[in-house]
Formats: sequence, structure tokens, C-alpha cells
Amino acid sequence: MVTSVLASYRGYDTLGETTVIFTALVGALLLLTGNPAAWRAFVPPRPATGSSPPPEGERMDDRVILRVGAKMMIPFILLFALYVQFHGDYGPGGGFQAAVIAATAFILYALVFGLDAAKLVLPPGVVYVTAALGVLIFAAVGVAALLQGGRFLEYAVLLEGSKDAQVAGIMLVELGVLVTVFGVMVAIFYVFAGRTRIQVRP
Amino acid sequence: MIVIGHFIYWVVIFLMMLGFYTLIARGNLVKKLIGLSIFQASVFLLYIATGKIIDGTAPILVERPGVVYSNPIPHVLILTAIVVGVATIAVGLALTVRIKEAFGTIEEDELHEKDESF
Repeated sequence: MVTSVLASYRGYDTLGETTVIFTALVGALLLLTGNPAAWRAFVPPRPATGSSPPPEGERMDDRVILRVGAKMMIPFILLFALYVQFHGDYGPGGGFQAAVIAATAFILYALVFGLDAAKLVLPPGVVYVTAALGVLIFAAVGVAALLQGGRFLEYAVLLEGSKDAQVAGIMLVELGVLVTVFGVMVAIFYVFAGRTRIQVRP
Repeated sequence: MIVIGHFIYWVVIFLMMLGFYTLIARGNLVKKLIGLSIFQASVFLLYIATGKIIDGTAPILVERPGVVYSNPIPHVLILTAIVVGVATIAVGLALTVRIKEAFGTIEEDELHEKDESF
């Protein structure tokens, strides 16, 4: 219900909101990945000492209970995220919440199996593209409504039936929100977690 | 009765002043951010509480006499505010990390000693 209001009645506001969170990601990235060469390579700088593996027995992935527990929970967390996403039209739920839940599953994976393993599954470059893609989907829906002769973000003109079009429009917009917020959350986690050791300038 | 009836406002005022005090009285930048976060949470609570009506249902039309609906607009507004709050905290923490790297401290008075131009 709240989702419908968010995407339809307050559509402009939500578009601005996704832009704000995307801008926050850009700000955090610019601040934390100050090295322009590293920034161009889409990889946050990692100090050489930080990447050496910790001594045996201290690594998280040696702990069987954590590893098995995380493996069991991650699919269910992702499933719950999808439920929250698609249930948003009828009850509590929506793109923002679903994205944060999905990001939780991913961050759990990164915590248990290590940041490097997580970056293999979802490279930082992909995450940044994901974060930008969501805003693009949202804006594209608005522009598509314009091209169909309606007003910006007027979903009713997108399809033949006005009601179906509303549902489809809200669904698409929520997909954009999901993609952006998921990307931003994981990317912010990457830039903060990627700085394993703080180098203090003398 | 006035005290009990406005319980949520007392909670909100307490949290707001707690966050505000932390924000202005603590020198540690991370603690300042925590204060800001508590301050934001108090505002969220204020809006969410006013949007909820006792015995009110979700605002979907039902054919029943005397049905009371909760207003979804404050909830939607606060969803926006929560997201903006998360963004603020993320950028604030990123700034704190940079300050720690540049100056070696996040205590405000030590920062003043190191850089007179503040």
C-alpha cells in the first residue's frame, strides 16, 4: 500500500530519493577512493599489507557452523527479499526494503566467506553499473510515459488498460528502486570494507 | 492523563534532545554521527506515530460502516526520510574516514590544534 503511494502519488519524490541515494554513493566513492587511477579501474585501493590472508584458525571461513549456517540462510533471505518486493502492492513491502534485505544476504556472504570471495561473485564494477541502472530504469519509465503522450511518470498511458498499466508501471519503478538501492548498499559496503588498514599521513 | 496520553511525544522529545545533546556536546565525530542518527530516528517516530490511528486499517476501500483508515502519507514520507538518513550517514562516515587519514584523529579539539584555520 505504502509502495503504491510511493511510486504513484509521490513518484517525483521517489525518483529524487533514488537519485539522492545514488549521489550519496558517488560521494562516498569519491571520498574513499581518492586515487584517480584506482577509481578509473573501478577497484577501491587496497593496501598491500591488507590483502595477505590472516593466520590459520582466525579466518571466518574455517568455522563450519558459520559457513553452513550462512549457506542455509542466504537463499531464504533472498527469497524473503523477493517476497517483500512483490508484496509491496498489497501490503507492507516495496523496493527499498527488499533491496536492503537482499543486500543483507550479500553482506552476510561477504562477512563469512571474505570480501575477496564476494567480489568474485559480484565484481565492484557490476555493482556500480547496477546502482546507476536502477535510476535509469526509473527515469526511463517516466520518459516512456511522456513519449506515449502522458505526463512524466503517468503510468496509465503505458499500456492499453489503464489499471494494468498502473500495476506494470509501479512494478517497473519498484524494480528500478530495488536495483539501485541494492547496488548502492553493496557498493558502500565494498568501499568501507575494502579499506582494511588506515594509513595515517605523518 | 495528559502525560500518559502523549506518551509518544515524550519519547520523541527525549530521543530528540538526547541526539541533539550528543551532536553538540561530543567531540568525537563518530559519536556526533550517532547523535545525528538518534535525532533522525526521533523525527521518524513522531511522523509514524501521528500517521497511525487506533483501530485504523490500511487505506483500501472496504464496504463496512464506521471503518477508520490510517493515513499512509506520513509513512511514505518517512520511508523517504529514512533513505535520505542512510545516505547522510554513509557520506558522513566516509568523510570521517578521510579526516582520520588526513589528520590521524577524529576528536574535534585535537583537529583544532592541528589545523588553526577551522
